[in-house]
Amino acid sequence: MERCPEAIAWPVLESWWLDPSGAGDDGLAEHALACAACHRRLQWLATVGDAIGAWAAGGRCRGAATRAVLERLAAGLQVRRYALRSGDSIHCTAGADDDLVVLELSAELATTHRVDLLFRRADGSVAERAEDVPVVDGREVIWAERGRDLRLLPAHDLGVELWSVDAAGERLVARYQLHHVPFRG
Amino acid sequence: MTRSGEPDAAGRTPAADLAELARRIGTAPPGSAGDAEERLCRELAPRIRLYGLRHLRDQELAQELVQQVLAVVLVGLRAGTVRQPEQVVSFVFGTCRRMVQDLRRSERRRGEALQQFAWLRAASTAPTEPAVDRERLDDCLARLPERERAVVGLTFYVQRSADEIGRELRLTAGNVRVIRHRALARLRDCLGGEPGGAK
Repeated sequence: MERCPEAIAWPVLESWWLDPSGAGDDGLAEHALACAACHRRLQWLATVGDAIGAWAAGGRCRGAATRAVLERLAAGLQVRRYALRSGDSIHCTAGADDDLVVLELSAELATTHRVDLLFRRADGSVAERAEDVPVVDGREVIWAERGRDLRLLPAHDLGVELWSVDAAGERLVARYQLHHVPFRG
Repeated sequence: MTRSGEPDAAGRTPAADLAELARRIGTAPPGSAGDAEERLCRELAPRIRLYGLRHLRDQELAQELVQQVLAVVLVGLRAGTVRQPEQVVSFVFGTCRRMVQDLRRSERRRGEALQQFAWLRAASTAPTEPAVDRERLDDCLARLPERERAVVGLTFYVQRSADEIGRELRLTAGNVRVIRHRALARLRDCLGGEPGGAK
């Protein structure tokens, strides 16, 4: 196994590959051409990067998203979107052709340190808690579910909550109510 | 240590041996060192392709770059214009840099030298890395913390830099790089460790 005596650290390689800036470009580029070990690292980045792009583009992603990702997904996939404000209660479903179902949850989150998203069953128990979800522009959390997963579910009610978490404890910021209805096409 | 020009146990030609391959091509009668030429191209093609992807952000242009650069390198070695075979990587790098500029100016220009080496198309498109196991990747991505998964999605699906991601998520670019690095380190571990097996 060939090792690189002047191995370039992963963070440097990542920044060079992913953040085009030109700084230090030539030296690193020439080294990557000469060095098999560093080349393999870059090759791994490129290969996994392509695979992650395909993962998202294929609608296989589930979880917190951002505005830019959502708009890109909506350009290539069938995306059913529900925009909710705190206190909203809605009926929702996943259509036969929906690749993704997306919740766009508005709330006042500009001053929060960390936001957790919590799904609560009708009996009050917690179904899932996603910690430290990204907040878009200080006022929105976007959550994507795969249509194929939702189509398997029976009718049910589900509470969605956004919690602010910091050293002093946690505080409920917003709550939304979903009434899932199976699609009848 | 490998015999000059021979791939090591992992199938890669050590950098020093690229010079030996270049020397063999340069000292043989033109066109008679086909084996060395193929081996040199097999080794350099994926590296040039990555250079092209990094600078051109386009798969087809990166493939075109590979073919053009390899053609120029082989012509140069055969003609003896690469006077120091041990500097072949520098020659390749300089050629890459110049041709990227050319490709940027006219996206589809094809070099005349390319026509002499039609078989380079196969060398430049040969698979260089095993495909990522799709189910394994799904599982590894599902295990990432939400914020890290969002950052890798923005990075690789929307092609956003750390600066751009920082603006969307109200983070500093440095913070985004840290989150991204942690996510990629977790993915490496989950997908089987360091590329090539070295730790």
